[in-house]
Amino acid sequence: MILIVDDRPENIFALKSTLELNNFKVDSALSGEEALHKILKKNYRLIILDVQMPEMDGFEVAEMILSYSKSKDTPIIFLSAISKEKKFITKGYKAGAIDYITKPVDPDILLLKVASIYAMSEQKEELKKMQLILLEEIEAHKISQRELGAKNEEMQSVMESMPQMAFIINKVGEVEYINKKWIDYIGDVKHFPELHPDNKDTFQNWNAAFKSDKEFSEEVKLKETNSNSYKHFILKIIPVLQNNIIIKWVGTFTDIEQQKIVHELLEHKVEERTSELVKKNEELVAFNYELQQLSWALSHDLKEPVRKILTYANLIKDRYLQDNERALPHFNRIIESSERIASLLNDLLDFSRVPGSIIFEEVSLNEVIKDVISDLEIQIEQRQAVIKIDTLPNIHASANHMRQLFQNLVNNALKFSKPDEIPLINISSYNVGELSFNSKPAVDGKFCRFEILDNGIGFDEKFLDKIFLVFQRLNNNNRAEGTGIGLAIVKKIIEKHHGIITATSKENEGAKFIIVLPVKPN
Amino acid sequence: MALTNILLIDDDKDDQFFFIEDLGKDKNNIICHVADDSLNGLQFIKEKPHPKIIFLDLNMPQMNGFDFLEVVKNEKNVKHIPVVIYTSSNHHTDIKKAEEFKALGILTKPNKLTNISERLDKALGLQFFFYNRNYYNINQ
Repeated sequence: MILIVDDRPENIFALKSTLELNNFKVDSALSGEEALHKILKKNYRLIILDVQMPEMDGFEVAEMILSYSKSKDTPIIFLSAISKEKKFITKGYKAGAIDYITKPVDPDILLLKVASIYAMSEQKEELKKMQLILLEEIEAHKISQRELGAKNEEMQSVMESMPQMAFIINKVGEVEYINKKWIDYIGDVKHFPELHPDNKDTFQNWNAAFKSDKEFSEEVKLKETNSNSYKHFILKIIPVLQNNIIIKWVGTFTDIEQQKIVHELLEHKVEERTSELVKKNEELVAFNYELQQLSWALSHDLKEPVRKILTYANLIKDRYLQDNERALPHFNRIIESSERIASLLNDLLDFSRVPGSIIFEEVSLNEVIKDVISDLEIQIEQRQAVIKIDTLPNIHASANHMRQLFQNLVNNALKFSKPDEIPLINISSYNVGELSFNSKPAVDGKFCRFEILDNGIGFDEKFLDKIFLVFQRLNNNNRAEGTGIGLAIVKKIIEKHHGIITATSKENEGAKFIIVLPVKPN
Repeated sequence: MALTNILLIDDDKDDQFFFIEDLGKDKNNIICHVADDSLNGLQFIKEKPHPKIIFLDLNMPQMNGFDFLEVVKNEKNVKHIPVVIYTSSNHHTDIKKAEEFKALGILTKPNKLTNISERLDKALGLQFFFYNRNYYNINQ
């Protein structure tokens, strides 16, 4: 809008009409005062000001207009019919006018001038607006910059407060930021920490992880600049994602020197202990072997003299003591005791003969049991025992040990039979799936379960763990023969064959021995 | 009655005594030669007449019973002589080995005199089908 200020309404009318005809919006004021009032309320693109006016002349009005911040940029054109001299024109321009037009006015020229000044003013206004927008934008940018700075600061302070050496790598792989711990350790901001020659593949591995957008972690040794020594760290580099895109990587070196030292110490200790144990074990094996040799040698070498004592004693008894009723009972005690020694030695020999390793072969247990029964024929006949045997399988085992095993078990059942009852012994077997006493029958099971059942004097099950120990005899009964080694030998043989054995019984109600053996060794 | 020559190879004087005592009343029909060790035993069987049967101790110095047995069973002049292992061992490995070495059987040295001659008869009587069995324990 254009404001025309003139104290003469006819002048205003003429100019207003011309301008309105050319599509300008026009306002008017009849005095400087009115004009100033209007200017305060409205924005004008152009003010056309008459110079000669009563009260306030044009120059004064212009000065006022230009002193308002609101209107200071509004272009002013002076229009004068009287003050045509150079000094007035100069004053007009000095007062801030953009043009000074003297009357008479050529309406076309005036129109052109107004149009061009109007356009200029409009452009200026546009520019002003644009500038404002720009300023706002700059301000917003500044704020966001400040926020970013705060965020960065926050992150950096987090990184500074971390106990690790930390760094940030941008997406092209350049180090953007390192924390103080890094500088403290490396003493340098320009270089990546020096890795130990052992870690020669680290960068390559890292690069591979970097290229495939994957988190990277590796244990490394870093050189400490001050001490020139290497310490253990865990290098971990994780991608930072924004909208699923990696924008940077955050890396840390975590000091694990202490843990490493403790770990190494522990490892060393474990190694030490292990070697101690191995040594102890070797000693034990050697000692065990010696003991076995000793017990073998002892029983073997003692056997001969005992046998001779017995033979001579029997010879003396048979030849010279048959009529000596006083000496005979005492002499019988000598023979009985010697017989006991002989039988102890025999069992000890058997026990010490179960070696550390055994040779597995296919053994027909039917054949084995046949031999056992034939070996025990005399005892079986004496007690009139009834022995019922299932068809037994072939298994992979040591034939001698299997013979010894069943011999001892059958012998055991015979020994501990009730004196006033016919001993019944039942040997049965079936395959099972697992090495367990509870395993169910399985036709193709890899283990074989045996049961040796008798109707003898039995034992109290609270002694179960004792019956398989050497020299443990639960029956201090004279009727019960035996040395207390038989079941220990059985157990030893079972263990050598990687099997298990247990027994169930009640006193005076017979016993059942249960054995589970692998059909084949592993 | 024809006299029977037999040979005992045993280094133990007591066992020699027991063996001879054990032959008992039959010892008049039997001539028991005694060798103190395997070498003497080998020397003895070089000459005829060969003993009808040899009783052989296992545990002897220099050349043990099995060494002796191996030599005898590989010597065509003497391998027909039946050899009974006479030992205090009753261990299965020894029995098995005796069988492998083609011994007639095993006689465990007893704790008392048992009238060996009865079993001697048994052993001599059974020698012809002995090899058809796994082993024959003449204790029984």
